[in-house]
Amino acid sequence: MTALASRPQRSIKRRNDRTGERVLYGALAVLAAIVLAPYVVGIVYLLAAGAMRAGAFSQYAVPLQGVSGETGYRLLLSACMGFTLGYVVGLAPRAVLARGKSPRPRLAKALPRVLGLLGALTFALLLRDHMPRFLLTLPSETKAGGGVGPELFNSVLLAALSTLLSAPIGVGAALYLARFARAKRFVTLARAALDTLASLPSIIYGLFGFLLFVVMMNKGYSLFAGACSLALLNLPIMVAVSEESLRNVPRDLEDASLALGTSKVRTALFVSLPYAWPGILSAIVLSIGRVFAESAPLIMTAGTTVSRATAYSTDPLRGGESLAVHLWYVNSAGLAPDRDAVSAGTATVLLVLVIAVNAIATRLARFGGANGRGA
Amino acid sequence: MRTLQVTVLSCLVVFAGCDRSKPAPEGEAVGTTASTVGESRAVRASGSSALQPLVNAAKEKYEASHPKTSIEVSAGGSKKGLSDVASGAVDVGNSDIFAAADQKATLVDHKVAVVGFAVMANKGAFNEKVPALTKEQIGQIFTGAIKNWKEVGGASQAIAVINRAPGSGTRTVFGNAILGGDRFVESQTEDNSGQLVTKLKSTPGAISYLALSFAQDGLWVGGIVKDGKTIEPTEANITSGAYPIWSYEHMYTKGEAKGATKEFLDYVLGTEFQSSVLPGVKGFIPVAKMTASKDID
Amino acid sequence: MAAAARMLRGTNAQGGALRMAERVFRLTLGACATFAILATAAIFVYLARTGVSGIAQAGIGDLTTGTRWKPEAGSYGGLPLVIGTLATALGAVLLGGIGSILAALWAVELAPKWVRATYRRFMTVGVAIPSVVYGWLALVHLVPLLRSFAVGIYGPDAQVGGEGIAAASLLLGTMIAPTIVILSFDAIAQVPQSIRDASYALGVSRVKTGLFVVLPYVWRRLLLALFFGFGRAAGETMAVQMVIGGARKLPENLFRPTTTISAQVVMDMQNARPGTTESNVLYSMSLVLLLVSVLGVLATHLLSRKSKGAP
Repeated sequence: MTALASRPQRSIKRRNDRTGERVLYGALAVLAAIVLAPYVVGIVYLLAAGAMRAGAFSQYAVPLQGVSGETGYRLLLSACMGFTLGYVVGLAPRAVLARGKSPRPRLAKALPRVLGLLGALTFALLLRDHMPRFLLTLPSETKAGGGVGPELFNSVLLAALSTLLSAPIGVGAALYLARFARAKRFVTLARAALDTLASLPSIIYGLFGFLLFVVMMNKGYSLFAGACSLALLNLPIMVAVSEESLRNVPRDLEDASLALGTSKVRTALFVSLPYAWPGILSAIVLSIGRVFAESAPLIMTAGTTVSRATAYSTDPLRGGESLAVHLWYVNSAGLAPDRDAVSAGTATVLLVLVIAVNAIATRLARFGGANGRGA
Repeated sequence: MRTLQVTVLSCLVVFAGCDRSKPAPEGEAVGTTASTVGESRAVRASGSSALQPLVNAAKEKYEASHPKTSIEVSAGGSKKGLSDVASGAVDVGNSDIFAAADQKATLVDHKVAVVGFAVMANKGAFNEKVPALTKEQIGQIFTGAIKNWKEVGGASQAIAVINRAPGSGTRTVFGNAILGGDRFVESQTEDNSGQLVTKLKSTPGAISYLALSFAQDGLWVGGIVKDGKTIEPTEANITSGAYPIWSYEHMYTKGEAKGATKEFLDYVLGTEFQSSVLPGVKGFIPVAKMTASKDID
Repeated sequence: MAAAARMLRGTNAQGGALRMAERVFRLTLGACATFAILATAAIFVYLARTGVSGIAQAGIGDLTTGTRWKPEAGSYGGLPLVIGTLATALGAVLLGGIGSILAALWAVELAPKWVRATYRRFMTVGVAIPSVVYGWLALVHLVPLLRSFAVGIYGPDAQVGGEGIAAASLLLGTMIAPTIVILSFDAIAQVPQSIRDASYALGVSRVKTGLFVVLPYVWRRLLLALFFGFGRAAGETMAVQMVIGGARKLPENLFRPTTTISAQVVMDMQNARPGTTESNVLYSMSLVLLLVSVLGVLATHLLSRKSKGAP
């Protein structure tokens, strides 16, 4: 009697459980979609809004603006764009060739690179004056039609300079901490210092750089000061990722080398480092991505202006505005009437740069660590 | 992820329609023979955004006739301009206000123009019938005592005060003239004049203060009512001193101006610029025309 | 024994020079590691020195409890700045943190496999997007939306607008969400399958297992992620400066303009002359930020030490 009475109740309970489960599942799925939506919408919007300004190739050649170094900049820019386009175009046939009936692995692998080189040459020789005007011209304070040529150049130059500073020190420190350090207290101290550096707000680096370079050394705004601040900012990432790559080097490999009589130093240099190199490379690429994105440290160390005389010069002691800083400046202090279009264009250029950097980093990361080299 | 990058990059290429516009000969430097640029000289200026339209007009004319010199102007506010020129970061500091007492020792003043400032607000049904306000009313609005347009004769609409940044010369001049000091109510700050104009046009009830060079049809520009008469911010009223909110536009240099800087300043202060170009730039008055004068703000 | 040791050290004729070179190399590497320590110390020392002189000049009482921040008038009430920073950071974690963790849970546990990888990839792009881009998008799109929203709630006569803590919190929440998603993602993915299996074996449904078994298992790492997000939100400068309004006072509600420490420092730094009280006080306020990040690091260490199953 009791069994008959309880059975319907239990099945109702199970049905309710399943409905309850489905409701919860649905709620979580909706939440996840809500969390994802802004980024998808944002990326699409940015590309659409800014692409017209930033991506419009000019039918008529953009005249040189009489800034020294401009030709060099145009060559570099067009070569890079050409290479990227050629490479991307070559990826599709590569996939096809690699899977076809008679796969030709060597041709398939070389195709993107060859096409990239072809693209670079074509663009550099023929199209360099037809690049999007936005990327070739100087910014304008008060008139419409300004571009971000010098800002793009400055961003890349800053990335190069800060990597030159942070990579050797970072990899060296990582090598020491991973393989050579003996005093445990030193290692703990170093780790704590790096953790602290990693968690500092970026404005602190700006303040420090300002205090050290602009005020104390009285050098005014300079790219060098900006590069130093950014190098400090990136140091923790460099050390952390490099250390992890070095730790992932299999012990047997190093032991074999040591057993053959190689000293610890030579082992580290010629066995561990090459093995960990792809991981280290991805750390470098990640820090480059960070350089493109930072603005607060640069406002106080590299300044917010672009000078016609030094727009494309490689002298690190001159000040210069980077892309991210330009985006902020145009919205906070600039008087150009086409502020929205310029902002959209700058944001798109930044986004494309950042996505490209990410893509390179993921590609490199696939090589590193346990996969071994050339995988 | 590769597919994502490929899609993204290809979208960029697809979106990039051809830019078919002919590049206008923008009066840019005759430097299409770019190879002779090596020796260009630069004059760097920064500071007041109110002065910027005038400096830009001067820059265009000057660079056209002196292709080897480039004038670089950036904004940031009068106080930033003063501090930049004092520290040597720029050659010329543009300022709406006199330099501070301790800066006066090292900085040399060049008064290049006079500019008037006015109250500007969002134009709407609520202030159609209110063309001007008394000095007291303006003061009370900006100290926060008056919070609604209906209290000054218009329809009911909340007043949204938008201030300038503390480093702005416009703020100092306006504060001294109307409030007797910097006694503004703490509210939303917007220092970018262009952005400010946009906000004034789009935010109902918004009110702020700007240089007259930014006055335009879409904005409510207020005169000052004194003794029953409305004093509009016109050139005549400013030169006679009847309209109280004005200031000199200073271009400060650290010590006497030298080299390219001196040549540029001589040009800006010269008769050619002052009598033929300056009057054409909206909102600026030559110093020579002023009957009124002042030594401090 | 000695022979073996000699063998291990390398036995070529240039042994002496080689060992010297190697010692130099080791020293250089050690110097690199020491540099990291010295750099951290230098940052703290320089900032603390300037900051402390700022505190001395302005008075710690005024800095911590004063409500009027008016450097041009000599008033350095830092309370609005600190409250602004804390409120926006807290709002960011509340809005962006909890949702991110749950979203990560769904992505790892409950979603189809192809969704999982794509979700994580989108989030890695989201992490890399520059903060000024977020700020600009918020300025152009979010602020007008919030203004209509605020006027809708408070009525047209209220002095509310789009800029304020609400805008900043939403913006910061969007900025830190990808980081928190990825950190939670990794934490949840590393939960041993045996834990889940035990729960399934007891008859608990998948969703409930995820919510009540897996999440509590990694609560330390999730809390770490939230701390990390809080730190990042508190330190964010440029994006916040674009949407917070810049009024140097305590706001009456979420839709009134106010300011944060980092936004105010960056704005005032442009005008302040180095060496003056105004400049030093900015360093003093950034000491607060330093303090917050140091506390965060300590919390991280405490949590990590006791964390189970996490390298």
